[in-house]
Amino acid sequence: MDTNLAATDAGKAGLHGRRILLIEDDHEMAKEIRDELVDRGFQVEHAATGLDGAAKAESGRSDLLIVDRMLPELDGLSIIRRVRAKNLDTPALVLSALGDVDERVRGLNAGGDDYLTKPFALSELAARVEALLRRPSETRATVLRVGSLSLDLITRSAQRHGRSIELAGREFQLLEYFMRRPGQPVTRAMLLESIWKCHFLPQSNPIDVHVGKLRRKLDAGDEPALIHSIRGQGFVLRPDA
Amino acid sequence: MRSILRSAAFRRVAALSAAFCVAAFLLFAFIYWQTAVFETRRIDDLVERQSATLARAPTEEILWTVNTGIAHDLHRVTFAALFDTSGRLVAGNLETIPAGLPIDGHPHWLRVARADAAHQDTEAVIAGRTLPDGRTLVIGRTLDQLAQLRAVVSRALELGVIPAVVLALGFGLLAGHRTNLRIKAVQVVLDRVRRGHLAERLPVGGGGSDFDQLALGVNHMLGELERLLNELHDVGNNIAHDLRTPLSRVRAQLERARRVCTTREELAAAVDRAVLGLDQAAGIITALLRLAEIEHAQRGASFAPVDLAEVLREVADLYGPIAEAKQIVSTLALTPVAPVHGDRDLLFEAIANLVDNAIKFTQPCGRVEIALLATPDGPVVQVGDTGPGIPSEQRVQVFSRFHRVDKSRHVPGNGLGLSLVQAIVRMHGFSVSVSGDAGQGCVVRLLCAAAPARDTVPPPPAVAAVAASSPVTLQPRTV
Repeated sequence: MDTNLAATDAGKAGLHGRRILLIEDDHEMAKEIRDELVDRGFQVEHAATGLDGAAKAESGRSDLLIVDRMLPELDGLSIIRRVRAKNLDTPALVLSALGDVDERVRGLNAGGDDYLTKPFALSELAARVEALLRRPSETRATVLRVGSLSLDLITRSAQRHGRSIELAGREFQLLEYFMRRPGQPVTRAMLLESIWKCHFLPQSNPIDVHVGKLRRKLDAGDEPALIHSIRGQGFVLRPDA
Repeated sequence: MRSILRSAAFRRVAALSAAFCVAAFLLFAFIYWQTAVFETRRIDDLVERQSATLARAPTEEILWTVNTGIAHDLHRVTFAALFDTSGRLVAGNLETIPAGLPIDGHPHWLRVARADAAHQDTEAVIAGRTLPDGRTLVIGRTLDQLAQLRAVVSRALELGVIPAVVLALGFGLLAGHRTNLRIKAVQVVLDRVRRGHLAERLPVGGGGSDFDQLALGVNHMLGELERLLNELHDVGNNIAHDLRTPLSRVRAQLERARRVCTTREELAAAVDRAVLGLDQAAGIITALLRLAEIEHAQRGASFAPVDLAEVLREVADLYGPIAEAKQIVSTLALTPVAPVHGDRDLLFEAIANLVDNAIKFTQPCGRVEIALLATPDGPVVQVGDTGPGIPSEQRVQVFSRFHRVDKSRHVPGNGLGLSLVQAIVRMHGFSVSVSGDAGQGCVVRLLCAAAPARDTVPPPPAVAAVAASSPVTLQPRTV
């Protein structure tokens, strides 16, 4: 079933009003990003230079930093290093034109929490923003529950309405990923990166087929769907009860 | 003629000749000087000693020595004479005491005439001493030999060095001329290349000289230039088509939607379709940019040991369900191989592209076989399918941008997958080859090691043989 963009805005996720600091010197790009995030219910502050951005970031008032690598005066990674040096663990998303793995590792080592290569879809950015603001709780629970679905992490088996569901290796990882992020949009890129360590978008759509298989296993008969598609973005797991 | 004189070859030869002249001159001068000095000193010494020794002997002995000395002097090098107190000759081969000779026992250079030679002056070293009884003893030695040496050296210079220099300069002119001819030939070829005849190449002699090496290098570069320009040309045409088609479709859709749609939902649906078309165009542009990025990437910058088996397992797992959905049997056969040096993400992408292609082009109920082989040349990743295959004459072109085996462009995709594979392969210093023929399926082999210097890659084992080596089969599972 398809659900359009508006239903996944920050308000529904309980993130309404979270403050995002966007440090980006390209004004057109900054406007697009800001408009998108404001539409989704976030508050966005903008800095156009490295020094201005660093000052605002170090104040610790923001809930999330979106930082472009290439900035005048002070580059993005240095800003993040400064913030971390002040013992602030504000989640940081790095935007960069540099895509190779070396650069990505550098970005994450500098203290970044996620890395997006330009060009990227705004919906991808929005999903990453939400993922960073709602970092999945690392619970010690051995059973995850979302609605009528439960997942036993020890036996690697799932149950829905008392019916047990057999899961092959990757299907289990896929379901676990969704169940740790209930109600949160999950993009194909996020799934490819986490589960298959794949950092490009394949031409065919293997993710859709994997998710389709999983859905067919989860939804028997006329049970309501648990995993929904979000047009233009990806998927979301919503509890049915 | 001017150009010959200006040519590097001639100048080099001229410089060498000049150096040769100077060296020869210095050598001769040195030899002469050393010899002369040595010889002179020896003679001086000899004369002085002889004079001193003889002066101490008794008179009879002196007379005797003088006479026998002269008698035995076959080479007429010795002067010896004894003069009485009034300067009259007592015995010896000098008529008088040489004019200007200081009688001090030290050797002096003078011209003297032998008494027994007819008016022949020679240079000689003479030492004169006054004996205790008042008589004068004169001992000397000719410097004839030295004069002869001087004459020989001069003649050598005249007859030897000068003609040698002339000959060298002659060769220089010839060499300069030859070089000029070669350079003119090169200029002609480069001019033609500049005018667009990209297939021209420099002539390469068989000698292996540095000029030939240079020509080989330039030819290689011209080959690359030709390839790139041809590719650009093709790409230009294809980009135009591949980008314009979705863009013009989007335009038409939006125009029509504006006219036709009455409800917001209809308009939203039209916008969605337009976004898909734009994404398609953007995808092509992104892929091209990535290709350029990879082709210009610094080789080895982020290389680390890569476990090919792990990469293949991930790729096979990722594409498993797609194969299943098309009822294609996909198999994975892994042989233990050593880790290779490379970029794991890029190798993943290259192999994923190959598997993606294999599945895309294979008909339902066909087979796709992924294998990791250990060969003497290194680890080989092999992806085989039972699809329509690639005609053997397109085996090289298939890797160029936008090439499609089926020109009608019915199969989805942007035509850049194999170009990406080749760019990644090149960046790693690996090699990729395609075999099979139209109607016989396709096998792509990625040799993950520097290719050996061979003209042909050995044909891959038959697809069936690969399947026989303990495969891990992913059977379509019933859900």
